Amino acid sequence: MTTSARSGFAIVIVTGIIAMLAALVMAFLARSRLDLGQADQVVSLAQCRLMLHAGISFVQESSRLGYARMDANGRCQDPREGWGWIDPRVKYPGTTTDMSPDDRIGPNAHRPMTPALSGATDPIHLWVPGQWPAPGTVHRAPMQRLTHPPFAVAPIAARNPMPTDPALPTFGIPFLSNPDPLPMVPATVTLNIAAPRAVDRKEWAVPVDRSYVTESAGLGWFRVRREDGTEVILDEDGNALPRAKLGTPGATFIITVGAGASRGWRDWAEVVAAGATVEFGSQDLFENLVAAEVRQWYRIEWSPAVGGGEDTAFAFARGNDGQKPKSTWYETYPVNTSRHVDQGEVFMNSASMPRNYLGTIRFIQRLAFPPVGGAW
Amino acid sequence: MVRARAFTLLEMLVAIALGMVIIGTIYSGFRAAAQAMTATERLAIENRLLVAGMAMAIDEADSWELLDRPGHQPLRTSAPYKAIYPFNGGYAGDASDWQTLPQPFTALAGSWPVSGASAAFDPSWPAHDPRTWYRGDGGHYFPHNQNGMIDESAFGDYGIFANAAGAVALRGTSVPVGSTWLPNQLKGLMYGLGFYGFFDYLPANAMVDYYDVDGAARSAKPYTLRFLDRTPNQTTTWDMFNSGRFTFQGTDMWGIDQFCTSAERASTRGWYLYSNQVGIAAAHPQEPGETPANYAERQRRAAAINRTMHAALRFAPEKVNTFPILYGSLNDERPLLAQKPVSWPRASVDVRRYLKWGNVVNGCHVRLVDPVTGMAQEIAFTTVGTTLRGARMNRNLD
Repeated sequence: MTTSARSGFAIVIVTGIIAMLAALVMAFLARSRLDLGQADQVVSLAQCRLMLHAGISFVQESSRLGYARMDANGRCQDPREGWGWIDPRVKYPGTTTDMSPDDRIGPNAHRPMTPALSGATDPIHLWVPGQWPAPGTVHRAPMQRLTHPPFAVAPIAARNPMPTDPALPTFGIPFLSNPDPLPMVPATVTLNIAAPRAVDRKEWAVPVDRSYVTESAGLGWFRVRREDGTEVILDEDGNALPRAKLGTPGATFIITVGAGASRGWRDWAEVVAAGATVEFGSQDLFENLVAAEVRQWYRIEWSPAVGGGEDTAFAFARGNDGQKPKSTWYETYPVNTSRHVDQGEVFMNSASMPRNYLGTIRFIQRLAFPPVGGAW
Repeated sequence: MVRARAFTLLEMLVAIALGMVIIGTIYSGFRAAAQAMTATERLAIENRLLVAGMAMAIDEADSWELLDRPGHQPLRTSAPYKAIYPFNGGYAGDASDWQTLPQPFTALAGSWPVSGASAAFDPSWPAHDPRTWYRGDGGHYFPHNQNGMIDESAFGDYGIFANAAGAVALRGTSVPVGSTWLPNQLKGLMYGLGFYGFFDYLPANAMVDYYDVDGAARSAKPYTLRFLDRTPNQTTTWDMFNSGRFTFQGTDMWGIDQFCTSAERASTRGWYLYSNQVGIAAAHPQEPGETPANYAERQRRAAAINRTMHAALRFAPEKVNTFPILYGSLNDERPLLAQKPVSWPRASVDVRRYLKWGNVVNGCHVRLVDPVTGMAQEIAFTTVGTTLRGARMNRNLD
């Protein structure tokens, strides 16, 4: 065997070993990548569930916020409560404007709903037919985090020191004069942590940095359709459900949730109609994004009913199981506290004990099929 | 003399030694790599099982297929149903009669007539409709009755205004009742769905009590409110209403019967308070080798949960925190895979549905138990999902 032959042999051996090790490494990496891809499915499902939560919260929070005009300085003018998706005073689809006191209760409070759901000729509606939140319209909500959203709070605590000068009339009194948490304001606004001050709403709202945090964009979205009663909903067997079973139109919503980057557009035609083609550049890209994302359809019904706090409310009237005078119950069970003391024992109050003022959800229904005719 | 070209012995020994070192190193390397691959494969299997389990749990929160699916519908009993009255009469406290009672996936159309409720279930329950308004006096109570018990009468004198019956006797004269819609809706739902379903269908501000005098002595509470004892067989119960804590009996002393004969006055509580601990459960299908008796026992225990109000800490004797008992009772792990290699981990999924102080909770558990090492892993989370009414609508029930 010549020296060159031995060298060739060694190269073959070494190369083979390296190739086998490389194959093992590649297999390891491929397996890890495959596992990661499988985990992506659960991430998408979880993302959809977060979007469902966000959609439901949107419906609740927007039910009674009302619609107010802002003046040039960003201050609220003519604030009007929304009174809910179905105004419980008059059973009109909300949100409606305030009315004369005579209309709130009594015989006039339950006048017929005319024209049904259209609002076209009804002056009390605050919404415009054909525009959100009119029944039959859609609100699209691509979700991403803004770098500095309006009305953000700073992750620092405000100090509220008690005056220590006995000469002061406020000596020793723990006035909570400084807001806590502190509003997050632009750098141009001076905010002394040691001596915070109230921040003007305009300072708090603008200017803000509305740019997206990159890693938060394109992950999820939801869109809400306020039902007008024309939607065709199928059961698990593909049969149309009777409308009578589906809740009250105007208070029922179809919430579509998605884990992906289509930004909640239903299809390319909707993108084109809205003049938003620049968001994607091409139909192919949009449809690829749609094909890669997870979409789910839900229905919910909002109710003006608010829960919680009833035991406390009744307790005021009842006393503590008859064992104590009524007057002591307030001391034992103060409203809106996180805990109470009863007979020497400390109990934690439930977080749901205080009432909420945004209404509640009567049901959640995951749809087996998308609403017929693209009504979502 | 021609010198032959060859290795010396020393060269050969060194070469052999080096060769063995190299071969040993390569062997060790391959062995480590193979072990790494085996471990990776093992982790990949566990990862896939956990991923599949989580996906199944999240999907189950919407589908409710573990409780009701084609071929397995333990919560759909069928008529004829057993009528229950008065409030705790006729109902077997151990739920041995569960098959003769409506369950959470029973069609209300079948159970409604038996409940004695008039009209039919109205799915709209619009808040602006005066019929849905509570017409009792929540603050009206008498401190003690002759037995030293609380004698609430939120509906007491007011049964004339809201009552499941259409008329009541007022000082010997039958007078029409002002509102019957709400009491009858409550009556039909409570009978037809059990407690979890009852609260699922109610608006959040609903008062769960109603006045009911119809001559048949049906009561405001057609079922016993109970809580599960700490005993494992869950048969010992404590009747909250008969205990005195929530009693609404005793009509003679106060002369209320002059107002409504045979009256049974309800304690007034709402959705929030009475939903402090309520669960829903169904027994999974009979397992291979499981005796019929054991399967029947599992069915009975699950059915008992659906008609049980589990008292919370403050209302239980000895102030026992009964929630862990309820939560444990809802544990019904289902294997993720019907069949698997012996060496694979056993994966199971469990979704526990319950109400806790007005909150609808889906408690999801995904577990892995390694048959080789015995190591157990669990991922537990809660998620929002389809409610019972949504699941029933998807099945075209109500």
